[in-house]
Amino acid sequence: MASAYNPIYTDVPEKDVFALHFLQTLSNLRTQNSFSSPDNKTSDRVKKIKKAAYVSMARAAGGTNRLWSRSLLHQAAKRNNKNVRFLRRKRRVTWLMRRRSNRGDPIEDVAAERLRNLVPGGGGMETSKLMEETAHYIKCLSMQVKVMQCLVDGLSPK
Amino acid sequence: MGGESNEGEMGLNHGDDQSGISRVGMPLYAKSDPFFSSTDWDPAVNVGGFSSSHYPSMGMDNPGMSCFPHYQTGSGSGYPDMPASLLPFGDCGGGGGGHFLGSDKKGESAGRLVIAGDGHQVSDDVVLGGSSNRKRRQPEAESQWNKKAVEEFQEDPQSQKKQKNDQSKEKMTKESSQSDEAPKENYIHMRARRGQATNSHSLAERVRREKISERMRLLQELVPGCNKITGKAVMLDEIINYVQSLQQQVEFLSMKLSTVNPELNIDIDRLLAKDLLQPRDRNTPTLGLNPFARFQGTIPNISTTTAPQYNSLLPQASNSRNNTSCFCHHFRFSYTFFFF
Repeated sequence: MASAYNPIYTDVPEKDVFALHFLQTLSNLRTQNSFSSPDNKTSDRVKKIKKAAYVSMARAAGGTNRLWSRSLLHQAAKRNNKNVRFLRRKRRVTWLMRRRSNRGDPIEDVAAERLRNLVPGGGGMETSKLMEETAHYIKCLSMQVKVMQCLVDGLSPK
Repeated sequence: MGGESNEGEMGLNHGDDQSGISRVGMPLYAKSDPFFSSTDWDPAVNVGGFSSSHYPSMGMDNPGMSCFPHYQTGSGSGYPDMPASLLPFGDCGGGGGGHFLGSDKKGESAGRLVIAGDGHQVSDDVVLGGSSNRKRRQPEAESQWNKKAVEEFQEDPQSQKKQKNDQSKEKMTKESSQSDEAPKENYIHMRARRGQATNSHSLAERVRREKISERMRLLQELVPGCNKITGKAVMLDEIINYVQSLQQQVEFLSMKLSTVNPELNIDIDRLLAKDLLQPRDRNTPTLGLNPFARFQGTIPNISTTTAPQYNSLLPQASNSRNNTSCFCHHFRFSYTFFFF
């Protein structure tokens, strides 16, 4: 898919990596007190699991090397009131002004806005960068879904 | 969520990521050095030249970018004023410079940025008048700047046609005729003033569109069932739906996980034996037709080792165990994913 002059790098690790991360996160969850207490509401657990899934996905997919994973991890850390600062490796500046000045195609702008709301960290990206991130995000999401599906299948009593 | 509850999760963060400085915003011209440092003209010359109202319309057409008149000057000093929007393209400019305009034979407007890295004469651009057919050699980086600098501009079809003839050097020229580009009619036509907002501007536009369409193609391959769709709007809608459905699936599966095993007492050792991770031959219920051909077929390659509590696992053991991580399973879903 990489063209000669601008290879779009969207490789994603194998399923094992995702599975490993997810299971690690789950086991961490398990060791918390709040999780196994009986008065825990289901929705809380669900939310925690969901968050664990996303965080583990972000970490498995490349940590802070991708914009969306970085912003995901940042959000998660912020929720825990931890000020985690990530070292930006490839210094790509988010030119917010650029994005605002991205005029142009009303068709693509509307859809791009929606996409930005969906993909984490999409707020500061230009449209082309956004689409790169979306591609990688889709790959990782599908991988994560597969892992979770297998897990659920494996764990469900028969 | 309690603080300690996520300690375990987030603890890894510190290990993984160094606590560096996360700068949200950068000064606009922090990256300007690779390009700006090469300029060696006298800013004064350009400023004088462009302050004249040779291109008054340019300023008017660009309400969003107030600093647009600045980079008419093309001076080194002008660059810092430029919106940072130009800079990210410097990357591809450096890498992909070969396919940009090496030289622009048809003189376009003089209102161009010139990066005088090659000792380009500034005076050419200073002399305005919008007369066309003036030979102007543009360093590649300059075309980068021009493209990005004048993003605001809507092209006019006339200059675009000229583009197609001119930029035969561009690799993207061939691709520009693809249908999934937004039709030109979507753009507001600029006043067709000859030699005015130029090749360079439309170039900028075209480069950007090319990038976007290239990524659209990439996405099109990712999203199943989108091979027949042409057109940006529908494609983007499909992508958005797909992402939404994936996220819904994650949520749904996490719900299922929480109910399936309330204590989450998953033995990691067993899991890591990959038994659990092997897919089973089971369709998740779907509510729609599955148009996705690539999700067909299963790999019934599960061994029979089970823990007592996981006796649900692994019904089949037909093939030899496939240890490679090439798992595909019979997974069907539709875009509208209803929870049952």
